[in-house]
Amino acid sequence: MIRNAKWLLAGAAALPLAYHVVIGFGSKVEAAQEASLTAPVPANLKVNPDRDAYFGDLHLHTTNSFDAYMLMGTKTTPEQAYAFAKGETIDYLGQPVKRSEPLDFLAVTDHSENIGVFNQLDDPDSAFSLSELGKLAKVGGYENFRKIVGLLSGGRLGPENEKVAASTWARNIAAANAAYQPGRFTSFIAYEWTSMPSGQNLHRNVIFRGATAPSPFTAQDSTDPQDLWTWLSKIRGQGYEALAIPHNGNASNGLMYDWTTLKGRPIDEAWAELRAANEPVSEVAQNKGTSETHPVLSANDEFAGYEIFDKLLLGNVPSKPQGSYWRDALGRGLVIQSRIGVNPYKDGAIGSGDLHSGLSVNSAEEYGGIAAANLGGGKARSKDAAASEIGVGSQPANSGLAPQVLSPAALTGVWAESNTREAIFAALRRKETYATSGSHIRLRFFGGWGFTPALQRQSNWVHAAYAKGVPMGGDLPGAAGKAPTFAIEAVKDPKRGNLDRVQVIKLWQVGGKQQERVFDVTWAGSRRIDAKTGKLPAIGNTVDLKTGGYANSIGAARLATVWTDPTFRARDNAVYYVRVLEIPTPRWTTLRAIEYGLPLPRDVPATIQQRAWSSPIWYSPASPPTRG
Amino acid sequence: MYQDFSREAAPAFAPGRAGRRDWRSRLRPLLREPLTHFLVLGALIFAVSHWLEARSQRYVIHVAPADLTRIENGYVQQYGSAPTPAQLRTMVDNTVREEIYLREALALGLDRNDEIVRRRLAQKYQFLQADMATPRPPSEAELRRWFDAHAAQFAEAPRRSFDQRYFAIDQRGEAAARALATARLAAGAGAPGDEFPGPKVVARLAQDDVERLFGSAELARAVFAARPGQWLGPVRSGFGWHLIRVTDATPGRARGFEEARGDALAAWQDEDRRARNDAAYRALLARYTVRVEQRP
Repeated sequence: MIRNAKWLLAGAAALPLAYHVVIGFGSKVEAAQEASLTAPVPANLKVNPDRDAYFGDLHLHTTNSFDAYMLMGTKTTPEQAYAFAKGETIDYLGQPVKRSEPLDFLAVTDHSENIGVFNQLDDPDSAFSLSELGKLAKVGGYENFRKIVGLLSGGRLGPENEKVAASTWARNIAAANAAYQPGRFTSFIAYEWTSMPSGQNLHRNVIFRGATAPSPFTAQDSTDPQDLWTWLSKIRGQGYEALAIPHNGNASNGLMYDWTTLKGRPIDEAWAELRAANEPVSEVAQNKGTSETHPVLSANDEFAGYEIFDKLLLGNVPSKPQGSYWRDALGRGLVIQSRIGVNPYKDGAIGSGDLHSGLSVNSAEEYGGIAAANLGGGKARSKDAAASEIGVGSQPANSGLAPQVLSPAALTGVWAESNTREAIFAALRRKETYATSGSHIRLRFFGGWGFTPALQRQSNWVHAAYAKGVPMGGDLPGAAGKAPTFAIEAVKDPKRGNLDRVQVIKLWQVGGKQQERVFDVTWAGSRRIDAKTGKLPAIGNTVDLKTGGYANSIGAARLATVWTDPTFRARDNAVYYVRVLEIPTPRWTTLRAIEYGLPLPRDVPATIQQRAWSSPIWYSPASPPTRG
Repeated sequence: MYQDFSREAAPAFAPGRAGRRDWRSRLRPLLREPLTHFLVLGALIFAVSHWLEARSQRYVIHVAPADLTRIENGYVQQYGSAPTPAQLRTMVDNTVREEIYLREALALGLDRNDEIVRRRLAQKYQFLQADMATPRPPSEAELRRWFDAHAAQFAEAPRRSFDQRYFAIDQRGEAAARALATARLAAGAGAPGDEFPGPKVVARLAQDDVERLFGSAELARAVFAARPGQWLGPVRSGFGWHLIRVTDATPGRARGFEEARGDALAAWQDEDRRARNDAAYRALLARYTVRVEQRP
C-alpha cells in the first residue's frame, strides 16, 4: 500500500517532466504520428477461426541501441530492420542483403535507456562526443563498454540527451507504424527495459498492442520488475495495452524466477497477480542461449544441454542455474501456488533473436557475418573474420560471450486468426504461442477430456479439439478425477530436418519441492523405449562433416498422438508442455568452418537437434487443495 | 571611422600642457561641426533604440492566455482533470525557466556546432517541407492516365488450386515413395496416397506461397507450369513425393480502373507526395554549390 502510494507520487512527479520532454520539443513530430494512422485493415483480410501459425521475432536491436551502436558498430535503422524482415533487399553499408524468406511479424526492441544517444558520436564535435562518457565510447573496446555500462546504471545523461532519446523513441514508433501491413506483416511498437542489478540479467521486452505508446519506463526509472509491471498496469488504465516478456533468465544468476521478490520479500498474492497480469510469456530461446532448462537442474533429461549459455552477460562470471530457467520456474510456480493460492510463474513460451545488427536471421545458413557473429545476416568478410567468429582464430574472446557459443535467432510461433496486431497480441496474452530454435515447425497441443486417437483421424480434427478442449497456454480444471488427454501434432519445417520425437514434460510438486519428468510420447521409425533405462534410443546422425549436408532419410515429416499421463494423480496441480526434436543437422559454426576451410571449434557441438517448445497446459483439481 | 579619427588625433597625445591645449583647440572646431552632431546623435538614437528593442525582446517573456491554455490542456490530456492553480503556476514556471535557458544558450551560440540541434532542425525542416506537400486530389483524367501507365503494378498475381497425392518418404523410404508415386501416376492416380502433413487446403495460392508452404521452389514451378486437369509428377517437396493435378488456374489478371481505383489513388498520392518532396529538395539543391573534395 505504502509502496503503491510512493509509486504514484513518483509517477505524478515524473509525468509532467516526460510531458515537457516530449511535447515541448517534439510536438510537430508527435502530431504527425497521431495523424498518420497505420495502414487500413484490408477488406479481404484472411481470417481463420481455427487459427494459423505465424512466425516472427519479438526482440531485435538496431543502431539506436547503445550497445549495438558502440560495441557492434551497427548502422541499421529500425526502418531497414522492418524492410529486411519483410524479405525486401536492403543496402547494408553498400552491400545488398536479403532474408531467405519473410517473417510474419517483428518487433524492434531497442534499449530504452539512452536510446539514440550514442549515435551522436557520429559528430565528433557534438556535446556528447566531448563528454567524459562520449570520449570513453569513442575509444571503444570491450573494457570501456563495461565502464560505460557501469556509468549508465548510475543515472541519466542529462536533459539534452533525454530529448534525443524522446525523439528517437518517436522515430521508432513511426517506423513500426509505417511497416505494419495488416494481413501480410505485423510490426509492434516495442522497447527493451534493461535492468541488470549487479550484472544479473532481468531484461524485459515491452510490446505495445496499438499505434501509440507513452515514453518508455526505463531501468533508470527503476530496476525492479515490479515497478515495471505497476507502470504497465497504470498505462493500461490510460488506454495503452502492453505486456512485458522476460528474457535470458539463463544469465540472471537465479533472480529471474526467484523464490522471493527482488526486494527479498516472500512472493505474495498481490505480487503474483501483478506479474500474471503483465508478464504472460517468457522468452526461452534466443541468440545468447536457451532458458528452458540446464543439465544441473534436469539431470535425467539427456536433451537438457541445448545451446547453453550459463554466465552473466558481462564478464566471465557464472550464473547460478537455480531460478534462472523456465522449466524450474513452472515447477516453482506450483510450489508457491500451494502456499499462497496463486501461481506467480504461469508463463507461456516464445523464442526470439536479440540480434544486435538489425538483421534478424533464424537459420544456420544465414547466421554470422556482419561485424561479429552475434549480429546476424550477411557473409563474413574474410577467412580471418570467419575464424574469430567461430572461435578458432588467434584472438581469444573478450568475455564469456564468445561468438561461437551464440545461436541464430529463435522464433516465436503464434496461433492467431489473422496476421494483425490485435490477433497476435491476443495470442501472446492467452499464451497460444510456442518457441522454436529457428524452424517453422507447426506444433499443435490441446488438452481435454476424452480425446481418443480417432480424433486425429478426422480431417479437421483441430476444429473439434478447440470445441472440446483448450489449446496450449490454457487451463484444465479437474473433471471428477478423470485423467486429462492431450492431442499433439508436430509438422516439420519443409525446408529443414525431419522430426525425431515428441516429448511431454510434466511438472508437479510434492511437499514443497518441484518434480519433473520427461515422457517420449511419439517418435519416428521403429525404435523402442529401452526397458532398463526408460529412454528412447537416439535417432542417428546423417550429417556429413565434410560437406555440411544431411539426409532426411531418418525422421518423420509429421508426428501426432493422443496421450494420457500414466502417472496422473487427480489431486495434484500439474503443468504439461511439449518439446519436439528435429533430427541432427549441422550447427552454424560447422557450416562456416566448412565454407572457409577452417577447423571445427571444439567447445561447441558440430551437430545439434533443433527443436520447438510449446506453452504449457495447466491442470488443477476441481476443488483446490487446502492452502498450506 | 573611429580608427580614422584617432589616427588623425594621434599627434595630440604628445605629453605636456601645451600638447593638451593644442589637442583641445583642434577639437573645438570639430565639436562645432554639424556633421559630428549628426553622427553622435545618430549613434545615441541607435544605441537607445537598440537597447529598448533588446529589452523588449531579449528580456521580456510574454506568456499569453493562449499559452496558458496550451499548458493547461497538456495537463488535462495526461490526467483527465484541470490542474490546480499551484500546479499550473509550477508548469508556467518551468516553461519560463526553459525559455530563459534557451535564450541564454542562443546568446552564447550553443546552437551552433551541436549535432543534436543540427539534426533536430534538419528533421523539423524536412517535416515541414513534407507537410507542404499535403495530398492533393488528382483529376479523374489524370488518375486514369497514371493508372493506365502503371496497370501492371495493380494486377493480381496468378493463382492455382490443386489436388495432390502424397507419398511419405518417412514411412516408405525415398526410393520406394518415388516408385509408388510413379506407378500410381501410370495407373491414373485414382487411389489416395498417404496423409499429407502440410496444409490441408491448397486453394488459390500464389507461386511464392506454394514455395513457402511446400518448402520447394521446384514444386512451385511445376504447379504453375502444369496444364489444368492432368496429373503430373512425381515432384519432390520438403515433405516427400507428390502427384499434382491443378484444378483451377487463375491467370494473372489486370484489374480495371474502377476495380483498383482505391489502391491507385493511394499509390498516386504516395508517388505525387514523394515527387513533390524530391522536387522541393532539388530546387533547394540548385541554390547551393556542393563541392566534395577528393582525398589526396
